[in-house]
Amino acid sequence: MVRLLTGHDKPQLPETHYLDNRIFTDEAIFREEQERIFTKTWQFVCHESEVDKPGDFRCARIAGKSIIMVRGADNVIRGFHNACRHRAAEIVRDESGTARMFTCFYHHWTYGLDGRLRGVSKPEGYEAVNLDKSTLGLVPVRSESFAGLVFVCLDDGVEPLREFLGDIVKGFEEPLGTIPLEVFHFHKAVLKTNWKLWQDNNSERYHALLHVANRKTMPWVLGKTSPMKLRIEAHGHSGYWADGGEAVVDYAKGGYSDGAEGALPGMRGDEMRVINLFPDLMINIRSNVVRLDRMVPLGPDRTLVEWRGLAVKGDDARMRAIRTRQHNLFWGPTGRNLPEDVLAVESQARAMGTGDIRYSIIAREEQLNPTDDANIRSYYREWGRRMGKSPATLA
Amino acid sequence: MSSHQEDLEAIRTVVQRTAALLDTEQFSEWISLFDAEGSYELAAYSTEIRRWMTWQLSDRPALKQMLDEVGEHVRDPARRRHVVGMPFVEFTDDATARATTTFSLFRTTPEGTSSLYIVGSYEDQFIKRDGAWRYAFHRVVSDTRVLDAFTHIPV
Ligand code: FES
Ligand SMILES: [Fe+2]
Repeated sequence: MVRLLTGHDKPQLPETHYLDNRIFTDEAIFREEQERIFTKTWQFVCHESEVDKPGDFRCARIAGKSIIMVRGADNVIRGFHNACRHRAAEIVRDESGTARMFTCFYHHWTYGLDGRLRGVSKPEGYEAVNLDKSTLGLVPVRSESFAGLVFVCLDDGVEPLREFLGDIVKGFEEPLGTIPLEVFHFHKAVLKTNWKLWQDNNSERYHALLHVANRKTMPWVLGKTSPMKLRIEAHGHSGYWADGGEAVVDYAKGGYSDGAEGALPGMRGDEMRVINLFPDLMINIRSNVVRLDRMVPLGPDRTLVEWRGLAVKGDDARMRAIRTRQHNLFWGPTGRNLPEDVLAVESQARAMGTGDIRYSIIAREEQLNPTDDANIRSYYREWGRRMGKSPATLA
Repeated sequence: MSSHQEDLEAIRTVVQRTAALLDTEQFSEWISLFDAEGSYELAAYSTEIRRWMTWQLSDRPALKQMLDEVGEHVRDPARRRHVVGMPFVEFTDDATARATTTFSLFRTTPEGTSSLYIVGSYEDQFIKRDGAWRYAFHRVVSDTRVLDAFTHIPV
């Protein structure tokens, strides 16, 4: 009898070159990731401009926790768990705002912008027990910033942010960190997919084939070589960009107006850089505008994605309109590429959910051209190291 | 019928046609509802960053290019249907007017499941040229900011 092909046969490839698709669907693996990855890595929360002035605050969810970032009167950005020390109501119930102090809405305990418990209502009721306010401040979360990006880490044992980022910063520190930027665009969606599939989508250029806009403006993706090269750095971080030579995006070929005007520091006209920080921050830079993706995994097949657009603070109306157009053309919620990317990763999640195809193939080797899978392999090496299991064999 | 009444009817008809032409994907007819100098904007207010955002702003040539390429895109297979309220029209002079119209846009998947996609309002500026009212500025303000399925097709 002829043996039919099954989707559960191991690929005849090195173990580094394929993935077991259960890492995208399994509930227990998802919970383990929250524990071993999201609570043990630096997590991007917001851009500095979102807490621009003393008293500005911004809320975020990380690994199931609710966090408040707030700029103090001393201009320091601090992070706190969003829970009152009295009976644990949420201190802040808005996504963002400006406060002189935080007053819990339930029984009116008040905290300073530095987190200290400043006052309790009806204090005479606590006199008998001598309540010590100095031990009842908001619970702090470790926070550090780099190039305008504010990160927090839920684990005190983790290395400092700068060490965690390592050499990948050379891709973004000049355009993001040497000129004041601000968030001009924010939107979010709950994608019906696993969070890593969204990261993979941003990491691999092979899928430029999916996008009519990329087929037209990045004709080199279909060729053998490319001006852009993959950069594989420590800790699972990677990116791709060109060091010079021809423009990597040919807007004119696609019939679009070019994106060269107002290039950010260190960026050439019609340049594009893609940077993927482990585990879940994506920094995409088109000459004059930046897109940041951050994720809040909600379940193996549900992922909240937040998209931010960054432009130069103090742009005049004309320049801001140019950056906004450039951002929206491919990356806006109604842009040319984003809707297609979402369809692709949701389609993967549906098919993987059936369990019919056990393995994904990440086997392209192309001298670090962006359609090489080397960056994805490096990402999953780091995933395996942190999870204590191979993403190919789950052993 | 007074000419004012005729103008009012004409503008209301343009708004209804806008929605109907998108539902049936008659894109070149949809573009012809714009004045030669007209443009389309999709805007939303973010409570997170506390500012207005332009999600799309296109003049007629950019709209034409985008809609000409619809067939080359991979798309959400759901069909869309607008439900449009009665436009509230104010004339600024004989040849210009403003109109505000609430709308909702539903999507129905090929399997027949319907869901609300976007709710918002049209905040439009009209101009009358050669006896016809067209959009000088067709501004779609979306209340919905968490989209269930993305599309670059105008709303
Ligand atoms: S829970 Fe906050 S004051 Fe009581
Ligand atoms: Fe893409």
